[in-house]
Amino acid sequence: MNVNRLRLYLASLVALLVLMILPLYSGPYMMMILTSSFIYLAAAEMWSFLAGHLSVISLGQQAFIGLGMYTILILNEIYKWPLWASIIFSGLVGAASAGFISLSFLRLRGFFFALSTILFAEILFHFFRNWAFVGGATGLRLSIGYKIPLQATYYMAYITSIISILTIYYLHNSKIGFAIRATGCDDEAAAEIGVNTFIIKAICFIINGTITALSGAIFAIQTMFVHPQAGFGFEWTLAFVFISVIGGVGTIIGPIIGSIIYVTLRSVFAGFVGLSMLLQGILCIIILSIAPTGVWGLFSSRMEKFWRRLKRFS
Amino acid sequence: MGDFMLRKAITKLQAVIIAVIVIVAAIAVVLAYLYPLGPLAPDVILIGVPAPLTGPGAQMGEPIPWIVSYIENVINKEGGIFLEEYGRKIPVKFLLKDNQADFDLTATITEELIIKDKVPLILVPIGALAMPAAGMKAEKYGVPCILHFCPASTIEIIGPSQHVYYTTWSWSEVVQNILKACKLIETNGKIGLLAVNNAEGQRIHRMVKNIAPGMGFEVIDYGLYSPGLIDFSPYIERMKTDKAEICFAYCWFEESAIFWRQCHEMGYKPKVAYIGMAAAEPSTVAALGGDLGLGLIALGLFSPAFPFKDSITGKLVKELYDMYTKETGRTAGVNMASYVGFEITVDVIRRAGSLSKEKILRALSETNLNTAWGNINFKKLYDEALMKIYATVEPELLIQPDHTCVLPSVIIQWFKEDGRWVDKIIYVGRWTEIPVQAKMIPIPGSE
Repeated sequence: MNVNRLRLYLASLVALLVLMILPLYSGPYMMMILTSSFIYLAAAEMWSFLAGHLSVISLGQQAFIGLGMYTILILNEIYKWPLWASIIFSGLVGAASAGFISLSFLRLRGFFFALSTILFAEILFHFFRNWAFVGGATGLRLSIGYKIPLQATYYMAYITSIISILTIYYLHNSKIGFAIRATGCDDEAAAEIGVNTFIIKAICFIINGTITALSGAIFAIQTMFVHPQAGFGFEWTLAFVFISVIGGVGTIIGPIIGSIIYVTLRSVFAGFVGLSMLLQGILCIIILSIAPTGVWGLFSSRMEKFWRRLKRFS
Repeated sequence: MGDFMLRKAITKLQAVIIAVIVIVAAIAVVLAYLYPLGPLAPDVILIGVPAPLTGPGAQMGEPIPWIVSYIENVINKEGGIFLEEYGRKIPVKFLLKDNQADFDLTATITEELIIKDKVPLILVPIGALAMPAAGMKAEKYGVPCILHFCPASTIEIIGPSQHVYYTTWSWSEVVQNILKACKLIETNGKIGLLAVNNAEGQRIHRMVKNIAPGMGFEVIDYGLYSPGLIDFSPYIERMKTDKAEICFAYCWFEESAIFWRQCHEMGYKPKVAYIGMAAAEPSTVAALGGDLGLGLIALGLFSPAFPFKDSITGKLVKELYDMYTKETGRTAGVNMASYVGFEITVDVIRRAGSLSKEKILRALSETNLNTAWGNINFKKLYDEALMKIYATVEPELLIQPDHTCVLPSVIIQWFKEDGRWVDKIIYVGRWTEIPVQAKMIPIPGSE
C-alpha cells in the first residue's frame, strides 16, 4: 500500500468517525442539515458515477426516489411491516425497477435512454397519482416519522451515503472497474475486447436504483409524508445533476461538496425574501463559470499545480 | 509572633471596605431571594412564517412581505406585545422564509425555524402545496402551528393533531354554491365537467358528478386532465359539440388561462364559466388578455366587499386592499386573505402573554376573534347549514376534525369598470351578512 493511499484511508476514517459521533455533540440544526445532505449525497453519487464513468445519463432518478417512498409507505404504514424490513424492501423494489429499465431501455443510446427514463418516471407519477389505495393525488402521511428521533434518521442517511460511496469506490477499484472505464470511454471498443457492456451497465444501473430508492425511503421518514409530486417530481433529478455538476461529475468527493453546497444554499437563501431562486441560479452560473469541472475539479487542479511548483522550487 | 500578626493584619480602612462589600452582598442576596429576577427577556418575539415568495406559488405569496412589514410597524410602534414572564412589551418579528411552494424545502425550513431559531409559533399564511410538510414538522416537535387558508386535503393528511390549528373553507359548500349560482341565469342545464388531476381536482370532479344531477343539471364528464397540459382542444371541441352551456373546468394556474384562451379561439362561449385559477385574482384575469375575463365566475374566499373589520387596526377589508395598492402599486386579490393569519397570530400571542408553548396552545384553542374574514373560533362546531351541505355532498366530512374553523366563501363574477377588473359578489349562500353586489350576467357573446 503506497503512502498516498494510506493517507486517504486515514483521512476517510477520521471523517467517518467524526461524523459518527457528531450527533452526540452537535445541535439539532447541524444534524438536520447533514441528514438532508446525506440523503442527497447517496443518490447524487450514483448519478455522478453513471454519468461520469459510464456516460449513462438517467433523467428519471425521481422514479427510484418515489418508489422508495411509496414502498416504505405501503409496507410500514399500511401493512405495518417493521421499519428495517420496509427500508430494505424499498431498496429491493428500486433494484427490481432498475432491472426492468435496464432490460427494456439500456440498449438505447444517449438521448433516447435519458428520454425513456423520464417517461418511466412520468408513468409511475401518473399511476400513483390515481391509485386511491395510497391516497391518490392527496398522498398519505408516514406516521413512523413522528416517532423516530432526528439522530436515528441521521444515522440511516449516514449509513446509506457510506454504502453509496464504498460501492462506487469498490466498483472503481476492483476488476470490474477496468471494464466500467472501458465501457465509459467507448463501449463498442470495449465490446470488441470482450467486455459485456450491457451487463456492466445493467449492474451499475441496478445498484443506482437500489441506493436511490433507499434514499427515497429515508427521505419519506424524514418528511413524514408521501405524495406523488414529492416522490416523482423532476426536481429530484435536477438536484442530483446540480450537486454532481457543482461538485464535479465522476468523482467521489465532488458530490460530497455539491450536496453540502446545495442543502446549505437552499436553507440560507430561503431567508432572502422573493429572491431565493434568482440567487441560487446566479450563484450556480458563477460557480460553473469559475469552475467548469466543478468545485472539486478546480480545487484538485490548483492543488496539483501548487505541488508541482513546490517540487520545482525545492 | 504577636508583632508579626499585627503587621500582617488589615488596616482600619481595609476593614471598613470589606465590611461594606459584605453588607452590600448580603443585601443583594436577600433582595434576590425576596424579588427574584425573571428570565432574560428576548430582544424580539420571533414567529416563523414559511411562505411561497418565489416559484410556482409566488403569486399567492405576493402581498406577504407588505403585510409583515405593515403589521410589524403597527404592533412595534406601541412597543410590541406585553409578555407577563418578562414584565414588559417586546417587539414582534415575523421570520419570513421563502419555501418556493416546495414540499421538501418547507419541511427543511420549518425544522430550521423550530430547532435553530426556536420560534414558539409557526404561521403558514398561504400556500396549499407546502402546508402538510410544515404542519407535520410542527406536530413532531410539539410547536404550535397555524395553517391559515388551508385546504381540506391537508387536514386529512396531517390527521388528528395536538399542535396544528386550521382555518379552512369547505369545497362542498363552494361546489354547491357555484352550481346554485349557475341557476341564476337561464341555461340548458348541461355542464361540461373537466378538472385537473390533483388532490383538489379529483375531489371537485367527484363532488360535481355526485350532486349536480340532483340539482337538475346534466353532467357531461370529460374526466381529469394531467397537470401541465397545453392543448385542450379535444375537450373544448367536445364541449362545443355537446352544447354544454355551463363550463365547469377546475384548471390549475397557467393551464386555466390556456384553456380559456383556447375556448375563445375555438369559438366556444358557454353562458356560465368557472375555469379555476385564472379567474382567482385581478392580475390573472387581466393576464387572460382583452376582455376574455368578462363574466367568468370564481370562488370568492376573500373580497374587498366583505363587511368585516381587521382586528389589529379596525380597518375594513377594502381599506386594506386600497392601502396595499397605494403603497405597492399592485392590485391585491384573494391572496390578501393571508393577512388574517397574522391577525390570529398577534391575537394568540397577546392573549397568551407568554412564549411558553403550553400557554400559546391554550390561547390558540380559546381563540374567538372577529377578523377581516369573519369570526375565528377553533372550538365552534359546524352549523346546521354546513352539516346539511356535507350530508348532501360529502357525508364522510360530517365528523368535524379538531382545531378547524370554516371561513366564509362566496361566488364572485368578473366585470370591467373604467378599464380595471373588478370582482363582484353574485351569490353568498349561507353567509347572509355579506352583501350581494351584482346580478349575475351570462358571458358576453354567448347568447
